[in-house]
Amino acid sequence: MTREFKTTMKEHQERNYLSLGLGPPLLLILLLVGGLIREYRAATIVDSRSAKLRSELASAVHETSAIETDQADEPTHGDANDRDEWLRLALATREIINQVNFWGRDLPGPSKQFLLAPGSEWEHAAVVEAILTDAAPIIERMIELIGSQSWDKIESRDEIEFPMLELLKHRLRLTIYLSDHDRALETLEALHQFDNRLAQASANVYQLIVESIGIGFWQTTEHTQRIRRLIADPVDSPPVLEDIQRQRSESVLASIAWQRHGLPDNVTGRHNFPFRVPPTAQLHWLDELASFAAVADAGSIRHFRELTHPEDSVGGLDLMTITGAPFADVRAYEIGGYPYWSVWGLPSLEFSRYLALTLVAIKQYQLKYGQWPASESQLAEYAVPPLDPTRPQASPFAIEFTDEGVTVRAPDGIQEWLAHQQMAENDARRNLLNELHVR
Amino acid sequence: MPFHPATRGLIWKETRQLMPLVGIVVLVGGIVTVTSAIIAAISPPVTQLSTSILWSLPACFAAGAAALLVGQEKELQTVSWLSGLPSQPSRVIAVKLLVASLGLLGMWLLTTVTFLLWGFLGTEVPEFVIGRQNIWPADYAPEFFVQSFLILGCGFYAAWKMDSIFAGLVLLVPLAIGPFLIQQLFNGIHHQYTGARVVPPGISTAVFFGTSIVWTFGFAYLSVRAAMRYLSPQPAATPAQLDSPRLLDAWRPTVTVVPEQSLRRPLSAFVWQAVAHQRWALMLILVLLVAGAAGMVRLGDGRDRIWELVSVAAASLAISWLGVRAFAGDGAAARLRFLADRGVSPHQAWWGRQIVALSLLSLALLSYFVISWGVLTGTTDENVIASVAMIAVAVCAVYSISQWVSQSIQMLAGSAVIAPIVAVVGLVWGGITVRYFGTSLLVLILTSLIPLLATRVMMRRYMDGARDWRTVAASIFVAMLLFLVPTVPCVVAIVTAPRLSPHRAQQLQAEAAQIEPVPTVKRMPVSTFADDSAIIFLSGRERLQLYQSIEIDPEELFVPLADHLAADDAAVSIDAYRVNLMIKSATHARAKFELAVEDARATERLVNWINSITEWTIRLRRSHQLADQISADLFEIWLLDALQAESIRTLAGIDLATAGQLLGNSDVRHRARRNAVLVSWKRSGDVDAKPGKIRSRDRLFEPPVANSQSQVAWWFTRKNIADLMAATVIDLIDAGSRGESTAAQRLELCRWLERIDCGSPDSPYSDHFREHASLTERYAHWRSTAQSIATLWFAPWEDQARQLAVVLGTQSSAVGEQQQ
Repeated sequence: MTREFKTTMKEHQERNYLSLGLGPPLLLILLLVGGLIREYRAATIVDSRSAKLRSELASAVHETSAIETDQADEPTHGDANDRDEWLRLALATREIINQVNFWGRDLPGPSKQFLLAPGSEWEHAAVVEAILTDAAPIIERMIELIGSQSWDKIESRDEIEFPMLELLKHRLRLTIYLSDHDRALETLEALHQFDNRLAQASANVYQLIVESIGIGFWQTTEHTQRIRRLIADPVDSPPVLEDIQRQRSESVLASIAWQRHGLPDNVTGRHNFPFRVPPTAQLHWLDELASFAAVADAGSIRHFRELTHPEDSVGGLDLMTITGAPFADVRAYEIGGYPYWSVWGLPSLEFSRYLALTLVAIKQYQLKYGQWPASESQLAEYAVPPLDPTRPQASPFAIEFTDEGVTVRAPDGIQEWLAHQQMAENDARRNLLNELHVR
Repeated sequence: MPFHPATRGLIWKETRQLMPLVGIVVLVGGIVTVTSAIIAAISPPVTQLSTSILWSLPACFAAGAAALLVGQEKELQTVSWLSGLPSQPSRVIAVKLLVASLGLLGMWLLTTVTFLLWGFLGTEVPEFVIGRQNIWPADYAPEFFVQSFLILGCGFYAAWKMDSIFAGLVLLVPLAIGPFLIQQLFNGIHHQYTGARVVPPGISTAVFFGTSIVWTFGFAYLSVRAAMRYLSPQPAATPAQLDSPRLLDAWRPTVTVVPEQSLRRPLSAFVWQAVAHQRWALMLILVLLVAGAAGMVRLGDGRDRIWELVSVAAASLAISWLGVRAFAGDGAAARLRFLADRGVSPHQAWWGRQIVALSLLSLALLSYFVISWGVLTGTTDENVIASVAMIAVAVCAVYSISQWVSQSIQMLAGSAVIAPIVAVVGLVWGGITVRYFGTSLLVLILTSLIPLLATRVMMRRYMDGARDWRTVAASIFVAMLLFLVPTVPCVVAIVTAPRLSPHRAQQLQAEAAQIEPVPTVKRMPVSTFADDSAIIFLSGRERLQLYQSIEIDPEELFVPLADHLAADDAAVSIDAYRVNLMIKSATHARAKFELAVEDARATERLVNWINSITEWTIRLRRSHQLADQISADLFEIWLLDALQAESIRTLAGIDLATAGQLLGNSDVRHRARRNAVLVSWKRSGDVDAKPGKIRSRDRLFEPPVANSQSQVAWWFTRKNIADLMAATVIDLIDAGSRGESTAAQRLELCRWLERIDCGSPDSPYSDHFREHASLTERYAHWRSTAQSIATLWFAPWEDQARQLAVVLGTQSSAVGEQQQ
C-alpha cells in the first residue's frame, strides 16, 4: 500500500516538473500556430471580399460610363475642349498666384484672419488689385467654367486645382476689402461650387463666411439670405459620401493587390514597414470600408465616430495580429492618403457649417428686428440644425448673448478636427478658442 | 615596495585571474570598433549605438570582475583555500577590491584612447571629432564612469552574498539601477511639490551623482562585511539556538528539496535541479522578464518613458543571462561532464540545459501577449506595439546568441559580460540587414536558430570537455554564418539579376562613341525678377510701380538665348524646373490672348512665346541629354496644341515655316532621341567614378530605389538594369522609326522601371493612355521625367504634328506670296 502510494507521488512530482518545463513553450507554440491560422483564414477572406468589391466597383464604373456615352454622343468633344481649357487656365492660374504671392507679400504679422474689413489697413491692396484686374478675364472664365455643367468631376489633383482655389480666395479678400458685395458673393458661390465639384471641401467656405460676418461685411437681408442658401446643404450629402467611399475602396484594393503580388506599395508607404502587411490588417481595412459604407447608405455622418472608433463593437483580438510583423495593432498598418483624411475631416467640416449657419441666423435676426437676439430660442425661425450631440467634449462651444451683441466662442476647423481625432488636450484647448463677435 | 610579501603575492594572483576577462573585453572592444567603422558608413544611428557600447565596456568589465574574482572562487571552492591561508581575510578582500578597481581604471584609460583614436581616424564619423559640442556619448561619459564603479561595488556585494555566480549577477541588476530609481523618485517628488515639469538638470544630476557615490561606497562596505563573514570561521550554534527555533522557522513549510527517489526522465531531473538550486534567481529573472514585457508594450505610445526603457533593458539583460546560464551557469561544465561520464546522451543534456530557460521565455512572451491584448482592448489610440512574433524573434535571437557565447567561452564571468554585447550587435546587424538588404522575417528566424543548432552539434565535445582548435574554428564558422546568412537572399538576387549580353553592350558602346559632341549651353539664367528678397521692404506704391514696369515676356523672364550662344548650331540644355516654368508662362500668355483677343499687347506676347518656344525646341533637339529630349517633346506638344487653334495659327508674326519644319521632321526627332539615349546611357555608366556628383538628370536609366526590396541589391544591379533599359529604348526607337508597334518595348521598359501600373490602361506606357489623353493633358499633368522615359514617343501626337506641318507649310507659303 505504502509502496504504491510512493510510486504515484513520484510520478505526480515528475509530471509536475515536466509540465513546468514543457507547458509554457507548448502554450506559446499553440499561440503562434493559432496566429498563423488566423492570418491564413484572413487571407482567404480578404481574397474573396476584395474580388467581390472589385467586381462591384468595375460594374459601377461600367454603368456610369454607359450612361455617359448614351447621353452625350456629340457634346463629348465640347467637354474635352472645356476640360483642356480648364487645364490651361489652371496652368495660367499658377502664374497669377505666383504674382499675387510675390507682389502682395506682407511682412509676417500676428493676425491669423485672412479676410480684411473694408477700409482697414492693407498696404499692398493696390498692387494685388492691379494683378487681379489684369487677370480678370481668366478669373471670370474660370468662374464660368465652374458654373457650367459640361463635364462631371474636376479631378482632385492638388497641384492643378489648389492654385485656382487660392486665387479665388484672394479675389474674395480683395472684393471684400473694396466693399464690392456682388463680386464677393459671386466669388463665394464659385468657391462653394468648386468645393462641391472637387467632391471634397478644401477651401472651407464656411470658415470664410464666419470671418466675413465677424468683420461685419454683410449688412443687407438679401445678402444674408443668399449666403444662407449657399450653405443650406449638409456636408455629408450622399454623392460626397459615395465619392469618398469609391476613392477609399480603390486605394484599399490597390494596396491589397500590390501586397499580394509582393510588390512594394506606395499607398501604405511600404518602406516604413520592413515586412509584409499581415492579412488581418487588410481585413481590418475592408471591415472599415464596410462600416463606412453603412454610414454612406444612411446618408449621415452623425454616427460616424462610433464607426471609425469601433472599440465598443470590436474586441482587442480583432485589432491584433499575433504573427504579423512588425506591429501588433492592425490599425498601425493604416492606409494614408487623401480619401481617408477627408472622411475624418467631415465631422469638423459639418461643425464649421453649423457655426456659419448660427452666425448667419444671428445676423439675420439683427437685420430683421434691429436688435441682437437675447437667447438661442429666438433663432428658431431660421431653422439652424441642432448641434451634433456626439461632438467631442474636448471641444467646447458657447454663445453669449448681451445687449451690445453676440459673442461666440468656438474652435476653428483645425482645433475641431484635432478634437475629433482625440489629439487635443483638454486644458490646453480652452485658451485656443476663437472669440467671434457678430457685427 | 611597501607591500607585504603576502599582499604582493595576492596582487599577482588576482591580476592573473583577471587577465582572461581583460583579454575578452579588449577583444570585443576591438571588434566593436572595427565593425562600427564599417557600419558607420552605411547607417549613422548605429554609430551612436556602437559608441555607447564602447563606453559601457568598462562597466561590463566591472560586472565581470566581481563574478570572476569572488564568484568563481566560491564556485570552484578555491575560496576555502584562500581562507585557510595564514593571512588576514581583510587583506584578501582588500586586494581583490584594489585589483578590480585598478583594472577598471585601466579599462577606462584604454577606452578613452580608443575613442580618441577613433575620433582622429574616423573621417566618416564626424560626430566624434573631438572638441565639438553635443557629442552624444561623450556627454554622458561622467555618468558612465561613475556607474561603472557603482557596478563594481554592487557586484562585489552580490558575489560575496550569493552562493552562485549566476544568482549574484541577477541580483546585481536591481542593485545597480538603484541610484537611477532614486533620481527618478526625486524628480517625481520635485514635480509633486513644486509643480515644475522639468527638474533643473543640475539638481537632478547632482542627486544622481550623490546617490551613486553613497551607493558605491555603501555597497563596497557591505561587501567587505559580507566577505568578512564568509571568510571568518563560523561560530558553532549554541544549544539554545538549536533548541528554540526562531519565530519565522515555525512558519516555514517543510519542503523536501531532494526528491525521495531519483527521477526517471532526465528532462524532469534537469528541471528539478534548476528549480531546486536557483529558485530565487529564476524567480527574479521571471519578474524582470514580465516587467520588461509590460514596459515593451507601453513604450509604443511615443512618450518619453524612461521607466519602461529601463525595464526593457533589464529584461534584455535577463534574457541574455538566461542564455549564459545554459552552458556556464552553476558549474554547468562540471555537472555535464559528470553526466557524460554516466552515459546521459548529449541530446538529453542539451534539452535539459535549455528547457527551463525556454519555459521562462515562453512565459514572458505569453504575458507580453496578454498585456498587449489588454492595452489594445483598452485604448482607441493607435499603438505602435510590436507583435508577439516580432518580439519572439528578438528574444530568440538574444537568447540563442547568448547561449552560444556561453558554450564557446565557458567562463561564466566572461560570458556574462560578452553575451549581452554580442547579442546587441547581432540584433543591430539583423536590423541593418532588414533595412538595407531587405531580409525577410523568415530568414531572420532561421538565422536566429543557427546558434541553437550550433550548440546542439557541439554538445558532445562540450560535455567531454574537449577544447582544441576545432572548437575555436567551429565558433568562428558559426559567427560567419550569423553574419552572412541574412544577406544570402540579397546576394542571390544580385547574382541572378538579368544582364545585357556583352556583345550587345559592346555594340551600343561603339555606337555611342561615334557620336560627335556638340557645344551645349548648359544653363539658361532666369532674370533677377525672381529674386524676392528685396520686395518685402518696398512700400505699396513702389511695388505697384515696379509691377507695372515689368513685362512678362519670354525675353524678360529668361535671359535671351542669343547672348549665350556662341554658334548658331549650339545646343541648349534646360532643367525640368525651368521647362515647367516656361510652359506655365506660355500657357498664361495663351489664356490671356484667348480671353481678350483684341488686346494687341497680349497678342504680341503670345507670338513672342510661340517663336521662342520654336527656337528653344530646335536647340533642345540638338542636346545629347535624354532629359532635354523629353523637354523638347513637351515643348513640341505645347506648340502643336497652340498652333492647332485656327485663331492662333493665323496671327501675324509667327514663324510658321520654322515651326512647320520642326513639327514635320520626324527623322530629326528620332535621331536626336537615339543619340541622347546612347550618350546619356554612357554617362550614367561613368557615374560610379564620382559618387555624390551624380545629377538627377543622369539617373534616368535607373529603377527607383524606393521601390526596391533591398537597397543593396538595387545598388549592385542598377547598372545592369540601366544597360537593359537603354537597349530596350534603342529597340523602341528603331521599331518606331520603321513604323512598327512599340507596345512590347514599352511594356518591357515599364517593367524595368518597376512601375506598379504596367499592363493597366492607366499606365502612361499603355496604348490606351497614349491615345486618349489630350495634348493639353500631356503637358499640364507632366510631373517628372524620371520613370517616364519614352512615354510620349511614337504616340499619336507625332502624326498630328506631321499633319499640322503640312497645313503650316501651305499657310506659310501663302503668307509669303501675299507679302510678295
